[in-house]
Amino acid sequence: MHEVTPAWALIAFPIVLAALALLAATFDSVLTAVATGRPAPLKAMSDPLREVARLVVQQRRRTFMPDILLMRIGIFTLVVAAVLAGVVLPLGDRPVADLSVGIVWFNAMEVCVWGSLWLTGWGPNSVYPLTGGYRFLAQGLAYELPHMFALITAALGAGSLRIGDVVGAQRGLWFAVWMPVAFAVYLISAVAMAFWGPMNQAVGSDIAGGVRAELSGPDRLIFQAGRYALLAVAAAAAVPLFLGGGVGPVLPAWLWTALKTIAVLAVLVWAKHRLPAIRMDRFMEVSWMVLIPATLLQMLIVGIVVL
Amino acid sequence: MGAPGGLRMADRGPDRDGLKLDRLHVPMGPVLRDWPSGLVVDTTLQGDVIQQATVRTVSGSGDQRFWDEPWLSAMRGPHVTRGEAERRRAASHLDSLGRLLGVAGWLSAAAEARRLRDRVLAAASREEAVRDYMRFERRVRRSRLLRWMLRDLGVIEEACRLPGPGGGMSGDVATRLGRWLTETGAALTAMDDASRLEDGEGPRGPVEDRPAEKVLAVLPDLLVGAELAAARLIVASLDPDLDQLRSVHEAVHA
Repeated sequence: MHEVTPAWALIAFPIVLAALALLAATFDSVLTAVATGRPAPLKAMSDPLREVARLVVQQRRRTFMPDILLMRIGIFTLVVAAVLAGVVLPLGDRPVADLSVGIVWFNAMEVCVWGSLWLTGWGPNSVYPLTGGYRFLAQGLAYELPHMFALITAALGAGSLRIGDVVGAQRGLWFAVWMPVAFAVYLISAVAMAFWGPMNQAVGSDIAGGVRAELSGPDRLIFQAGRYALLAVAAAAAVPLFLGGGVGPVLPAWLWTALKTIAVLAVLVWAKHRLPAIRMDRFMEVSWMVLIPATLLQMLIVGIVVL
Repeated sequence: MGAPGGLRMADRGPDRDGLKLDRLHVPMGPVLRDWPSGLVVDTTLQGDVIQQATVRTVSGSGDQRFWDEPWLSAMRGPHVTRGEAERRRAASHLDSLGRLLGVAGWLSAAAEARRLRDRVLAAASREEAVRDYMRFERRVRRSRLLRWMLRDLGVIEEACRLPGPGGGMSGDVATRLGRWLTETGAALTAMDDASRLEDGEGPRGPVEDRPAEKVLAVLPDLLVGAELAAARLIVASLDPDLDQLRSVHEAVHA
């Protein structure tokens, strides 16, 4: 069953990931243009590519006595974490790396984002990025435990930590249907992990852009690319874990995977424009008092059903 | 202790949890997104919690008071209709709402408030403005998430008698947001009133009293103990109009 991954997957994976990240950025630009009442909002579709061109040639700004090395480590970690988290997700039938502990690997790579944002916030020696870093650590404390329980619930339902097996276990019924709490918590925590949408206080405009306030030129470009890649990976993981993976009628598995991933990604991008920011001083309590017990209860129910 | 790069190291002091933490001295303003332009709050931060705050302003150059202008002009004598003044009041509140919603991270609602503000100032008809405003108001009021994020922040006691829209600034940030929404609706409905403007009750309270001075006086106490995000929301919910402060020019002639 677990054959060797074909060589084309190694090439296809980064292309697919980049395309999804660009798609998310494009959709976000269009929604922003609609909200601000810009005439011809569809013209905003080219904004992300313009921004890439602008950042490539932009001169770097420097803050006073920055720790450039730590900052760059932070920035690159963001991209690397997103890519490494993505390698265990099936492109169609098979992922690039079919690990027997795929879910744990995925979670471990995501946690690297904590270090990434903290270092990126610490590096510039400036108060707003530092504040952004603090905010993300608080956010991590709020979302990580519910997130882990949601992932583990899916693994429990399949009786395996291999993501391919989780997909296989959903041939009859999607996990999203019979473990809705875990699915909902996964989506909330995925948004928090990608510091996206309502959970974007680490890069909030109220602190002048937070972690990324002092980033300019290629540094900013890589950071932004990493952020969108992370969002894409977070959306893509919902498909094999909760939405039946590539299973579906008529169309081939890779197409179903792509369609479902794009749908989840669109919902996450759209949510950013519908909701005000969620501050962790308020959310922390809900996370620990409501989400954690709810996921534990969900896990208990799934455990009983599986037995 | 050394001074790396010629900068003094951060000193330390006890914080609210009984720990000893670095103190950073950080000015907020005069230029920040969705911030009353010209306002500077000099803060002492531990983490992102404000331990001390003092307020100063970067003095403006002119003595124009755009938002209070209809009322001031009516006092000087020329005939100003109530409708004109209400149009300015509605636009002023929509401007404040845009800023508060922007700080609250709800950029699409903030953009909608600003679009409405521009259209009201650009002589949109009453029916059209009221209709579009109602939709906006429903959307903002319906958001339980927003209310959850704004309540219990920056509570001002009734006894403070701080002048403000619709009778005062008392309550928390969510209350003040609600008051702006109500006042904007009322002002838009009265936009066609052709009777003569006779009172001096501007968007931010009696225009002769220069309410901004009183708001700035209570601001430091409200900010101490708040973290940066909450502090930004508190400032945005009071939205002092710094044009109301006496400019250097006026002070000389007073």
